[in-house]
Formats: sequence, structure tokens, C-alpha cells
Amino acid sequence: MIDSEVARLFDRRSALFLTGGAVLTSVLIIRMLQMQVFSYKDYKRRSESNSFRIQINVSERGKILSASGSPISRDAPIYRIYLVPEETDDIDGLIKIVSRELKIRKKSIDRIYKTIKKQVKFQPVLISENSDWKKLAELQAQNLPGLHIKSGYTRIYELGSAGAQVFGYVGVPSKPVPNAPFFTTGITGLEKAFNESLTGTPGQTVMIANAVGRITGEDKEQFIPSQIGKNLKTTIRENIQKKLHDVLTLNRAGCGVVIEINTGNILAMASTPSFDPNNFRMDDGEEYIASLRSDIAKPFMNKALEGLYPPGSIFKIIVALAALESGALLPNEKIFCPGYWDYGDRRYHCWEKKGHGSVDLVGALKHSCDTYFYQIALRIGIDSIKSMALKLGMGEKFLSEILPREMAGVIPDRNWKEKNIGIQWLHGDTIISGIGQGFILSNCLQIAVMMARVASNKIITPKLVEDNNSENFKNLKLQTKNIKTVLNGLEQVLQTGGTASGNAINVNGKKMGGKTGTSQVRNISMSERESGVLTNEQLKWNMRNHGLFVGYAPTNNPKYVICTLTEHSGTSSPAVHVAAETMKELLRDG
Amino acid sequence: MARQTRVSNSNMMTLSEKLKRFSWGLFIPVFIVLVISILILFSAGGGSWHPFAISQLIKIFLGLGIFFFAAFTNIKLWIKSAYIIYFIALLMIILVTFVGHTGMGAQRWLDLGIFHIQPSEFIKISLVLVLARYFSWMNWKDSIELKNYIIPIILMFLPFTLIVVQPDLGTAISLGLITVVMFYITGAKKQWFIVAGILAILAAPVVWFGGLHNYQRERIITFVNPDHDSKGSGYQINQAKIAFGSGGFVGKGYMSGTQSQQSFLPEKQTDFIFTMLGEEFGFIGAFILLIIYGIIISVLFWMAKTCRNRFGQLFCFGFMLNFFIYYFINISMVLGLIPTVGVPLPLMSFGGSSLLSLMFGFGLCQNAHINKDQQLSAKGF
Repeated sequence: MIDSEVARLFDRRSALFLTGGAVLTSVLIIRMLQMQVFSYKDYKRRSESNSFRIQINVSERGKILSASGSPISRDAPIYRIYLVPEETDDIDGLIKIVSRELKIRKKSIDRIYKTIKKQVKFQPVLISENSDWKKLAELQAQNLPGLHIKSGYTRIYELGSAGAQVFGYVGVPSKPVPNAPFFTTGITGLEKAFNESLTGTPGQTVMIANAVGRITGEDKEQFIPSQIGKNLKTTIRENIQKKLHDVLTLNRAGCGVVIEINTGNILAMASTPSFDPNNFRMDDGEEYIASLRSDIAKPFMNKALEGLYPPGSIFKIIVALAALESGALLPNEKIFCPGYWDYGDRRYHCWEKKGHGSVDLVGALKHSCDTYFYQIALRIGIDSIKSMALKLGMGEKFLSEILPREMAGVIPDRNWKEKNIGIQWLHGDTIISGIGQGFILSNCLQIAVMMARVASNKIITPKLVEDNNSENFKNLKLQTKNIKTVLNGLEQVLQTGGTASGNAINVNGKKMGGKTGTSQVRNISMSERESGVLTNEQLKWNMRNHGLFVGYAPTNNPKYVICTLTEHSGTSSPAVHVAAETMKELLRDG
Repeated sequence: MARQTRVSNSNMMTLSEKLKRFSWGLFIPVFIVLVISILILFSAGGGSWHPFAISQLIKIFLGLGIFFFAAFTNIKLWIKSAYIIYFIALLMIILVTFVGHTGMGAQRWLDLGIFHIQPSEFIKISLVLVLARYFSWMNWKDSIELKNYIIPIILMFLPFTLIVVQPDLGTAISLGLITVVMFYITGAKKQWFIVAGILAILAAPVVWFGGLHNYQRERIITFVNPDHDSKGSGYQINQAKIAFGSGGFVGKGYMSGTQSQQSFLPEKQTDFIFTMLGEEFGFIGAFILLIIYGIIISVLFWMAKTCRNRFGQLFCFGFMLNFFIYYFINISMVLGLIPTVGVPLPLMSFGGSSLLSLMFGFGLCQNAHINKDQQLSAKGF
């Protein structure tokens, strides 16, 4: 038996280990507390990112609607089959199987490989859309790693290339969103401007993954359904938009805007050559985009807003009104045009070499007599012209909040020239401003707005998006008789002898008035003028004059305004033709 | 030898007498931990009896059989066969070193056809048993003579060296610690520990450069720093920490541990079972297990302290020590306090060798407690 000495020895020596054991146990407890209580949040976060694979459920994008409510751009449900390169060790094998099963063309396979090379490995690569569902189901049943089949949406652009620059298109965001395959965002136009409301609220599906990343199920509790985006109602009239686009495409390049005067609604806005965003997702989409990029006629440019041109003779409307309002010109005052006007040591040529003879204001507008307006412009001065131009909406941006690339253009004066050119303003500058040349630059929308304001004597401001506010435009406070005189001149333009008489229209007695313009792209040198000005046919395409036209109809009660421009068409008549055809369609509508 | 000639046959107890002395205080907490282990293994199987829970349940029944057998047989039988048990365990260590299978890093297995044996689990109990046997047969005054420590040192060093060569850090540390502490308890002089420590430090470089082959040195580097060559263990311990920490105060709920249920947690059913407990039952769950372990330790200590024969006292103390080292190393390891060494959590981890040897040990402690008033040796202590 243990004697007391041994028992004491045991007690004494074991006490040390009991103490040690207690200390070590408290170390464990402290560590447990530290991990599970104090650093809990950090570990929790790491644990969640470990086991959950969050997939963004792309929401159905809202439609872009025409004024009548028909869709211009809409999302259509589709099935996509795509692969994620990082999920498979055998991409070649996978593509081989899929292309055999779905009979994918060589061209698509090339595109697939190209995309794989270009993209980050976690990004999905589209194989095809809307393949035969039965075949897809068979493929899905094979459970090939890296291969996914998922329902989603694709954007359909109902108007195709008509107004594509205005409505814009969607595409992959420049910074790809992880876990959201085929997530798209508005890249240009209204798709971009209203991206937030169009996009809606994406939902999420949380998949549970195991340690090797294989999805083992779905965490239904964390599922959030996506919410469809809001529709965007525009002021665009589908048929007018199409018509304007179609007649514009008869020319190499151009643009046009149609405005409803009472409301300021933009009924059509087109720019050509255009592009069809429906083609972007085709197999040769990239080549298509590349060819568009290299086109010198700039298909991606919304020329109606971004294209600045000298307004040419159209500007005479402004000069005429400025002169009448200032009282410096009486409508019946006649000025003799011998085909030129000598001022100072320079000769200013009228476009009509033979001259117009003695013309009053209405005649000067009808025939677009340069000599008349040279003299009127100099008489009233550039400041007077400028203030009238600004009143009528020239130099103003109207849609830049939604289409920020809109350009303001230039309505020059003394200060402007000194600041920007560094040379003093000369009388010659005022003289050529009288026919809309020189430094003046404007876009089609501004010209259309100018016409709408003149025709209505109201400060019309255009809009592209329906906001359900009935517009109450303020009065422009021009003298009615002056407006009548100018409009009378513009009516004559499309009558016998007028500069646009060849395109006169008459839809149930409804006629169009307007003004033509050509804007010079190059300066004609003295020597060239002496040896005979080169005709447009002799010039390279991009050196030829632009043709412009602004019109309104019906003449007795103006409802619509149209401004058209045909780039490098040489004369204005192609532009008048576009306007006339579009206006006919409008007048037939009522 | 004279002092080994007479083992007392007096005071043989009947079974009912033994039952009266049976310590429920030891059995109940052990049983609770076993129930918890089945619970966790059921969850580790993804809410299924397969593949872990049912298999472990069978082992538990086997373990309970061994426990009662060890508890109610004549204690002298075990004292007599202490050396035989030790040498069988040592033989298995030798076998496993040369023909064993390596699984889970450094752990070595003996494949016996239908089941695998981990001899390193048996050697720990056997060493406690043989040391208790050795010192109990010696007058404690003799035990403070240095020469009497030569045999126990050899008894420890034989398996220790083989295990270092395997290499199996957890078991080696356990063996070393058990021996040193038991020497101290038996009354070895404090100066010896100091001298031994200095000698070990001096001998180390000589052995390192003179006595070892390159591959042996490699093994020892791995032995000291298991992360050295295993790419996997960094990931393993990281995932274990995430699992444990993300359990929070109350846990993610039974069978809802995202880490363990989704197989992020490696070895969740064996060495890392504590993290699974921590993930699903939180701090509360892990703390309760520590409390139960604490109760078991206290009961074992109380048994050692109240045992009036030297064998019982030393075995209970040695086994208590073994049990503590076991779970302390395991929990420290899974909580990232020490490197991964491959020690299972006693009574909890899936696996038979550890469970059966522990149940045998508990049985012997129970037996020693039943016989605490028995005089067992010739020399009168």
C-alpha cells in the first residue's frame, strides 16, 4: 500500500500538472472565443465566399417604344449555350462534341476560338443561341464540364438600322460583371442614356458549390427574382422613322429630323449610312463592326445631332427675319442682282451667275439670291443676325442630357472670331454670314427647331422621350406680318421657279414650304473661279457640297417641320427629295 | 527477480462487489462523448449513417465490450501481461514501419485485410501500462536511483525512434511527454531532467550530422515542420479555421455546417472533427465538449489520487496524461495553434484503433479504481 510519503510526493508533483493542464485548457478556450466570437464575422464572410456561387439573374430589359407604343427595341427570351473556359481541361474536345451535336458551322467555331483567346478565362463564350431545344436537352444531360445552357434574353432591334444611332444598342460592359453571363448594358444612344431604368433589377441565384467548385445544389432561400426594367416611350413615329431612313439611304450619307410643331416631339431622327445592331451578335459580327469603323461616312455618328455643317442658304430665313424685325428692311424693297456684289476690294458671287435681276424679299428667298442677302446682312450687322439666330434656337443643345454627344455649333460674332481665330472681324465675315457660310456651323436638329419656331412664332423645344407633360411653349414675340412675309417666300421655294420646285408635293391640297441650302465644303479659289468653277461631278465625293433642306407643312397650318441633309450630294435637290417623300408620308397620316 | 514473485491472491471480489465500486462518474461522461461522436459523424456523412456513423457505432459497441472486459477482469491479469501487451504493440510499430501503408500524411496503417490498425494508438496505452507496471514493482526509494531509469528509458526509446523515422510527430511527442511526466511523478530527481535536457541539446547535432542518412534527416525536417513538404496542409488548416470560426457562438445548426457539408473541410470525420463540432454547434458546443473532457480528466485524477496501490495510481495518472495530451494536441492543431501533426480527437474521431485503445485504457482505470484498496505488490506499498 502507498504510504503517506509516497502520497505526499504524488500530491506535490501532480499539482504542477494540474495547474499546467488548467492553463493549457484556458489557452484553448481563449482561442475558441477569439475565433468564434471576436473574429466571427471575418470567418463567416470567408466561409460564405467559399461555398456559395452567386449568379446574377439578368433582368428582362425594358422596351424602347415608339409614340404609338409599338416596340423599337425589345428583349426576346432565348436559350444560350455557352462554355466557360476555366471550367474545363479539354476545350477542344468540348467544342468538338458541341459543334458535332448542334451542327455548328466552321465560321462560328473560328469565332468561338477567337473569343476564348481574347477573354478572361472565367468569362462565358457563347456557342450559339436558340438552337434546337431537343438537342440542347440531350447535351445538358451529358453534363459536360464547362458547358452551360441557360435561358436569357437577347435584344431585338425592330427598326434595324433606322435610327440605330439614336436608340443605341446594348453590349457587354467594358468591365465584365463576374457571375453574370451575358449581362448587357446600354452602350450608346437611348439604351445608354436610360440604361438604369431599362435594366431593371437583376436577381440572384445562389448555387452551393463544394470544395472542388462543382455545383451541388441551389440555396433557394437566397433566391431573388429579377425585376423587368421600365419601358421607355419615345416620341418616334415608327413609319416616319422608317421612311426617313429609307429615303436617306438613297444617298451615300445624310441625316434628317422631323418635328411635330405643337408638341416639339421628334417624330423621326435618322442618320445614314447606319448599322444594324441585330448583326452584331452574328458570327461575323466583329468583321461587320470593323467594316463600319473603317467607313469614312461614319455610320456610328448621329449626324442629326453630332454633325455640324454650315447651314448655307437656309440661314437666309434668319437674316430675313432679323432684318424685318429690326425695321431696316421693308418686305417690298427691291435689290438688283447682277450675279455678284462688289464690296470693298472683293467680289461676292451669287450662285446664279446670270443674276436674279431686281428681287424683293419673297423673290430673294424663292430664288435664294445671294446678292440680296449679302447686302442685307451687312446692313443689319452680325450682332443683329446673331441675336435672331440664338432666339430661333441656333447654337443651342436640346438633347445633350440624354445624347451627350450633341454638338452646339457656332454662331459667330466679333468676340468669337478674335478668341477662336485670332483675327479681327471683317465686313466680309458679316457678308458671307448672310448666306450661312463662313464660320457658322449648326446641326440638323437646330435647323428644324429654327423652322418650327418661325412657323409657330413660339419657342418650340424638341423632345425625344415622352414625358406626358403637355408643352406650353412661350411666344417668340416676332411680328406676325414679318413671319407671314418669310413663310410666303418659303412657300414660293417649292412653287414654279423656286429652288425646290422640282420636289413640290400636294397631298390632298396640303403643300410644303421650305428652304434649300448647299454648304460649301471647300473654298473656291480666285483662279478656279476664273477658269470656271469645277462642277461637283469633277470633284471627289468628300469634296462636294452638302445639300440641305428645311421644310414645313401644311403651308396653311404648319404642323410638321423637317430638316434633311445629304452629305456631299453636290446640290440640295437630293435633300429636298428626302424631305418631300417623308413629308408625303406624314401628310397622308393626317 | 524476487520482487516479482508474489502477486497477492487475497481479497478476490465478486462481480456484484465490483459493480458497487464501479465509477459511473467515469463511464457517463465517456459515454456522452461517444454519443456526441455518433451525432457528428452522422452529420459528417451528410445526414446519413453511412459511411461513418454506422461503422463507428459498431466500433463503439466493440469498445464498450473491451471497456467492461478490462474493467471487470482480474487486474492482476493485466499487470502480468503488461510486458506482453507492450511487446505486441512494439512489434506492430516495427511492422508498420517497414510494411505499413502511408495514409493521411504521416499516419501509418497496418492492413489486416478487413480492417486497418494504427499501432501508434496502441503503443501510447501500452507504454503507460508498462511504465506503471515497472515502477509499481519497485520500492519508490529505489526509483530515485538513476540505474532504475535505464529500462524505462529503453522502453520509451524503442517505439519513439521508430515513430520518429515514420515520421509521426503527434505520437512521438505524446510518448516523450508521457514518459518524462511519469518519471517526474515517480520521484525522479529534478536535476536529472536538467542534465537530460542539456545532453539532448548537445547530442542533437552529433546525431544529426553523424548518425543519420539524408533521407532520415529529410524525414525529421518533415517531422518538425509538417508544412514543409505538404502543399495540402496549409489549405487544410485554413479551411478548418474558417469552418470553426464561422460557427460563431451558437453554430450554424446541426447538419448545416457549410464548410463541412460541402467538403471544404478535409478529414472532417477524423482529425478535424472538432472543427465540425465548432461549425455546427458553435462555441457552446465546443465548450461543452471541453467541459466533459475536463470532467473525465478530473475523475481520472481523482482515481489516481485515491488509489491506494502504486500500479493503479501510476496507470490512472499516466492514462489521464495521455488523454489530455491527445485532445490538447488535436484541438491546438485544428485551431491553428500548432502545426498539423495527425492526432485524432479522443473518443470523437472516426476510427477504431484510437477508440479501442482508449476504451481499454478507461477499462483499466475503472478496474484500478474498483481495486483501489487492493494490495498488489510484494514490497508493501
